[in-house]
Parts: sequence; structure tokens; C-alpha cells
Amino acid sequence: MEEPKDALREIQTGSGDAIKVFSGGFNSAMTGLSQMAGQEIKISNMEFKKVPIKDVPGLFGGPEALIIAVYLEISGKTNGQMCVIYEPKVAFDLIDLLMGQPSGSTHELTEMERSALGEVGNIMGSFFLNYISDTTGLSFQPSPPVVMMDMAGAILDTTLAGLMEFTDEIYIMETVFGTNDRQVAGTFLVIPNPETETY
Amino acid sequence: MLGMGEYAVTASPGAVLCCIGLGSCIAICMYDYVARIGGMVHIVLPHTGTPDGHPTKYANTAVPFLLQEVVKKGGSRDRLTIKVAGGAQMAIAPGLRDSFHTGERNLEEIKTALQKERVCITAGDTGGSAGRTVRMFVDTGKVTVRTIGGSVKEL
Repeated sequence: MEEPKDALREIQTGSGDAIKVFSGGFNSAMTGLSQMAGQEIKISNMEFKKVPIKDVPGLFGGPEALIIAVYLEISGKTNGQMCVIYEPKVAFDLIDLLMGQPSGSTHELTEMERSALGEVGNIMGSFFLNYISDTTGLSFQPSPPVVMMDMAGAILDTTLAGLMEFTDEIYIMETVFGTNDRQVAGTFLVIPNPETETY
Repeated sequence: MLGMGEYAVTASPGAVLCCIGLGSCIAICMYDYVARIGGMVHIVLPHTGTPDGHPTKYANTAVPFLLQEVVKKGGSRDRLTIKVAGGAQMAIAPGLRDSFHTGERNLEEIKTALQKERVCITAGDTGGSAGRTVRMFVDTGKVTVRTIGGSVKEL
């Protein structure tokens, strides 16, 4: 298999530059989120991990575990996908945080919550990809996001299946972010699309 | 528990074969009700471009493979009930490029492969946009499908 070269792939191979770019992108995403929320939101913890693809659903409690995922597609010099995964309760906390509501107010995913999480995904995705575009000079655009709440295995299977052809491991970013007194934990996956090998 | 691309064939009465959290993947269940032999495979993609030594990952190769394994174990094609579940399209939104319809293609490929083998599907629960967990109880051949809504149904 040829050595991947562009930014998205470098993220997957976890090269040092990639970690810097990813962190920078993520910080940029926080700026966007802060603007959206009207309050300062920052990362308190960011951990870049290499995980065997087979084990990804296990990170969230197993393939049947209920998760909320905000998923969007990346198009540009190469294509890929981006996904952020939360435990449902954590996603609800995020919505409460952004809406300035007490924790525990949101407890189900109706149209409104979906829309809020989608908006979050959109902002974070755009700011993240803009940063990457600025840094690498390559242009990437996010698709409108999709919010899903279902079994971890089901949500991830198509995405991971394609990747499994080419690699056994994937890099994920586990983050904790929020305001000074309220934090949420989310896991980010950035997945390049193996079919589009362009150099 | 069968992960992506895994399979099992057993005559062990206490066994329960299962595929957990199926999105676009499909579980193919074959059961010989006389010999009480059950086989299940967790397919991921419709067909393989080039043979790569993983026949059980692809619908077009997994079908004949599983049939073969069930027969090897003592099962007979004439006595098989075949049930499928999965093949959902998880991300449904207008803006997405990824309308690969993998779930749908998986099902189509399975049907084609079964037709070639001159066997057919007895029952199925496929499509939609919800994740499924499938279990087959080898003592009776019973197949159940569970979705996040909480409801469990029998195929």
C-alpha cells in the first residue's frame, strides 16, 4: 500500500505534523463553538489515540451501545468523513450547555435537539476544515451534518468496513471541552476515503 | 458473537449465534430444521473486486461459502430455511454524497447469489435506518431481531 500524503491521510497515520494540524483544527472548532454559544468554550483535554478498527465500537460500550453521532462528509482534494460521538447523556449535556439551560433539562432527541447538534457539527466541521485548508493550502468542505442516535456498531459499520480493506487501525481524538464549569466528552474520528487516492 | 466478516456453523444445541449492531451489514442465517444445524455469516460489502481470501466479508462469496460449510457439517440444501436481517441505510440526509446504498446493494447481491444456488429467502427484516441485533437459537432455529426502539421481533 502506498504511503498516504495529504492532510486527511496524515491524520490517520498519526505523523507528528498531523497531530499539530488536528489540534489546531480542533482549537479552531472551539472558537466557532464559542461564537455560536456566546460564551467561551475551550478544550480541557485532548488525547490522540491509535485504536484497532475492530475495537472502535467497544470504546463506546460495545456494538449494541446507544450513542449519538454527528456525521458529515468531507469533499475536496480528497474525500472523507468526520464523525463525533457522544454518549447520549453527554450529548444532552452539551445541548444544555449551549442553550444555557441547567444540566438535565434535555433528555431526549427530538427535532430541536437534532438540529442543535447538527448545528454544532456544522460549526465545528467548518472551522476545523477551514483551519486545515488554511494550513495546507488544500480546500475541504463539509457536507450538511446528519445526527444519528442508534447502536454504535450500526452507525459505524459502513464507515469502518471500507477502511478495514486498507488498514487495521484508526486514529481517534478523545476530547473534553466546555466552559470553565461545564464540560462534555466527545470522541472524534476523521476518516479519509480510501478509494480516492489522488496525488 | 460474529464480527464483521465472521461466520459460524454449529450443531451445538445450546448455541446462540449473533450479530450485534448491524447497520448496512447483513446477517445471513441458514438453518437445517431436521439436522438442527445453524450457520450465520456477518457480511459487510456486496461483492469483492478481486478474491482476497476473505470470502465471508462479501455477499457474493459468503453465500456459497456458508452453504458449503453447512453442508460439510451435515446439513442439506433442501432442508434449509434462510433468513436475512440488516442492510439499513444509517445516514439519511439530502446533502450527503455517501448515498452508496451499501445496505440495499448488500441485499440485492445476497438475493442474486442465493438464486444462483437455487435456494431462496424464507424471511427477512432489512432496510430502514435503524441498527439491528440478530440472534439465532440453534436448538430451535428461531431468529430474533432487536432494534433500539426496544422491540424484539421474530423472523
